[in-house]
Amino acid sequence: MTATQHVLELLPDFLLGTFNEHERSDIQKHLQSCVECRREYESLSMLWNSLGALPDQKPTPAMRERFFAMLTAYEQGIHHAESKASILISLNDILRRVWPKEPAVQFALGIFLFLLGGVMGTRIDQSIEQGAKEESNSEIAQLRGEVQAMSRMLAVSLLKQQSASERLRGVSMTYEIAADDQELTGALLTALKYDASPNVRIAALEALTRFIDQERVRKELIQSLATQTSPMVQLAIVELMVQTQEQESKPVLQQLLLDPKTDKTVKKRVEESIKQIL
Amino acid sequence: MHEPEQPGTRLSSLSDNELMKQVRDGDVKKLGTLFERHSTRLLNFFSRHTSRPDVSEDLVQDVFFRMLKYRQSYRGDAPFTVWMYQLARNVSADYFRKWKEQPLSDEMAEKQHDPDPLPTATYEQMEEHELLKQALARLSPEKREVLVLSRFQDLRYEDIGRILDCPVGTVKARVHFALKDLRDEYLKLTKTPSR
Repeated sequence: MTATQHVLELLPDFLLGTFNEHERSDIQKHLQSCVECRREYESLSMLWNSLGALPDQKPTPAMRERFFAMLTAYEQGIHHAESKASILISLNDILRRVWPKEPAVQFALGIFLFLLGGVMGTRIDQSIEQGAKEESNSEIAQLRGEVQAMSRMLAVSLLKQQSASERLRGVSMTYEIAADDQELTGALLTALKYDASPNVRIAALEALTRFIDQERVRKELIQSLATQTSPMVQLAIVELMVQTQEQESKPVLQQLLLDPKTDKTVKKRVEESIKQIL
Repeated sequence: MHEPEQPGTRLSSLSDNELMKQVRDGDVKKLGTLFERHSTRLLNFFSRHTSRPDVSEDLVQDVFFRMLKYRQSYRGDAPFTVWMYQLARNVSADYFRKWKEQPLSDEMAEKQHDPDPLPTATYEQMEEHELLKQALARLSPEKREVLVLSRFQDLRYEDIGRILDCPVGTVKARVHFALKDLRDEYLKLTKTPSR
């Protein structure tokens, strides 16, 4: 490098410091003698340094929780698929050993199995008709139970999805489940506390109002008020506290009032609500 | 729930490449360690590249989901982070396609404040950070991407070249042009009368 060459095309190397000492001093010499390059270097390196000072975003606990929930689900899926495959392989093995090799015997066995199937089919048909009436009621009840269990599983797994709209679907699905269920309220409370999207948090809160008579739900709602960052969600919880006249929420409401980070509108509403909770 | 690093398993001593090869060969639990090592860096890649901190956690989740989905295609002949950022680029390309490459509107930009600004940052510093973020958001996704990769992700130009699939010289030229454009956008913002 000579002192007369412009060095601007080498600027990215200079910024990342990918030069050796000798090259670096050559460039510095050039910058001292060339006003054009010096100006450009100073302005761009200042910008480069300012970029480096931009604060980092910190992940919420929900990000980690959702990742490990996904990993566990994936792992379980693999084990399930493997055990299913191994059952099929062993079934294949047995059939290969038992099945006759001679085509004539194979044909005879085929006819025999066909006739056996026909006879058994008629017998089973008759017995089903007899028992059908007695069993139909209990079957319907069982089926209803199974559908409920499936919906619950689906709702809980939707709540762990990566897309916010899927999680919203999960929340709305919980309304279709009549049963009072620990896993379901747990999933909704996790969504309220940790979900990245305020919309999902609000939807989860609305869904939780159905379970407000449970002490655990009430306690966790009050606790979550202290950790919520979105004013919208804070306001929604405060409204619920007033509606349900939740005495135990008062200390948390007072704290919220004293916290300098609390939004002005929220503070105003909290002040009113403390008076409204008798 | 997994515990990502059990005491005594010495997972932390394994390289990223070794861990990902074990994930590829069926020990998917090891992805937990890779998540602990890289998720925050990846989160900041997305929040700066998309200018949307509110969706960035979802995008990180998508990258790790794709690592599981495509684990068998992992060869391990380049650093793990190169593969990770290649997947991250695909995720952000899908994001931009979905949102028709709409840059953040001014109204949205107003709402995107730092989740946890440094307590020592002065008002002027915060103002400068805000302007810089807005200037970054005004760049084309390609220019923003090369700046984010080179400035924030601790990557060498050689690795950025592998991620972007172009020669090192092209990467350097792109960094230079992107930085110049950023300066222009920043100056425009500082000269806006409302500011």
